[in-house]
Amino acid sequence: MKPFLSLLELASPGPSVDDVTGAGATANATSAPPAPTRAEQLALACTGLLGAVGLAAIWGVAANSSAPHAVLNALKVPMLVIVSGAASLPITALVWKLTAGRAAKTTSLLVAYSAAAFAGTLVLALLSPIVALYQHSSAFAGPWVALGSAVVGFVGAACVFIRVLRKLGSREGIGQNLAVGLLLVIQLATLSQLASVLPPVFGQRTAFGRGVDGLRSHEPRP
Amino acid sequence: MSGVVVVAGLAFVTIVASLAVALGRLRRRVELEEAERTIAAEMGDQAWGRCGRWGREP
Repeated sequence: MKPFLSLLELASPGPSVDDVTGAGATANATSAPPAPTRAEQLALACTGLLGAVGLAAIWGVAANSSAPHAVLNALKVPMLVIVSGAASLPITALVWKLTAGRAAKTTSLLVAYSAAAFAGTLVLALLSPIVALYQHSSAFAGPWVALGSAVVGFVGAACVFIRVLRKLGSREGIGQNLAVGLLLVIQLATLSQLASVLPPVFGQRTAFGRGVDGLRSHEPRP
Repeated sequence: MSGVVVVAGLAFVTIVASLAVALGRLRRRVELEEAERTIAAEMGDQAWGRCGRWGREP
C-alpha cells in the first residue's frame, strides 16, 4: 500500500524532490529526508505499472455489458496500456537524453510515466461503476460514457506525467516539452492502432478504435 | 487472430512478468540499502572493514 501512496503523493501538487530532500533547501537541511535511491525509484516505477495493469483490468470489465467480452477486456485493456507504453517509452527516453542534457535521468522519466499510468488507470477504475451502469442500461449513452471516461483518464495521465517530471527536478525546457509531446503522440497513435486490430473493447467499434483507417474513412472518395 | 495480436499478447505477458521479477529484486535491494544506512548511522564513524566486518578502519 505504501508504494501506491507514494505514487499518489508524487502525482499530487507539492514541492519538488530537490526541495523536499534538502538539495534545494538551506535551512533544516539536516532533518530533511534522504533523496530516494535509484533502486527505490525503479521499484516505485514497477509497482506503479503493475498497479496500472490491475486498475485498467477493472475498467475493462466495466466497459462491456456482455459477460464473455467483459472478461476478455480484463486482458485487452491492460495490454493496450502496457504495450502502447512499451512502444512509446524507448524513443521518448532517447529524445529525452539527447535534448534535455545531463540533468535528464531516464529513471525520472520512468517514474513519471509510471505515476501517470497509475493515476490515469486509477481515474478509469474510479469511473468504472458509472461506466458499467451506463453500459448495462443505455445502448446510446453507454459507449459515449465509456469513451469519455477513457479520454478523462488519458488527459489526467498526461497532466500527471508533466507534473511529476517537473517535481523530479526536470527543468522546463525544449527537451521536456519535446519528450512529453512525443510520448503522448506515440502512445495515442499506438493505442488507437492496436485497438483497431483487437476485438472492440466496447460493444461496437468507435471511431477511435478504427485506428488510422478510421480517419481516412471520413475523407471524400474520389 | 492476427499476428499483431499474438505479438502484442506475448509482449504484454513478458513485460508484466519482467516487472514482477524486477520488483521482487528491487525490493530486496532497497531493504539491503536501508539496512546498510541503518547500520552506518548506528556505527557512526566506523566503516566496512577489510576483514569483512563492520569496524573501525585501521
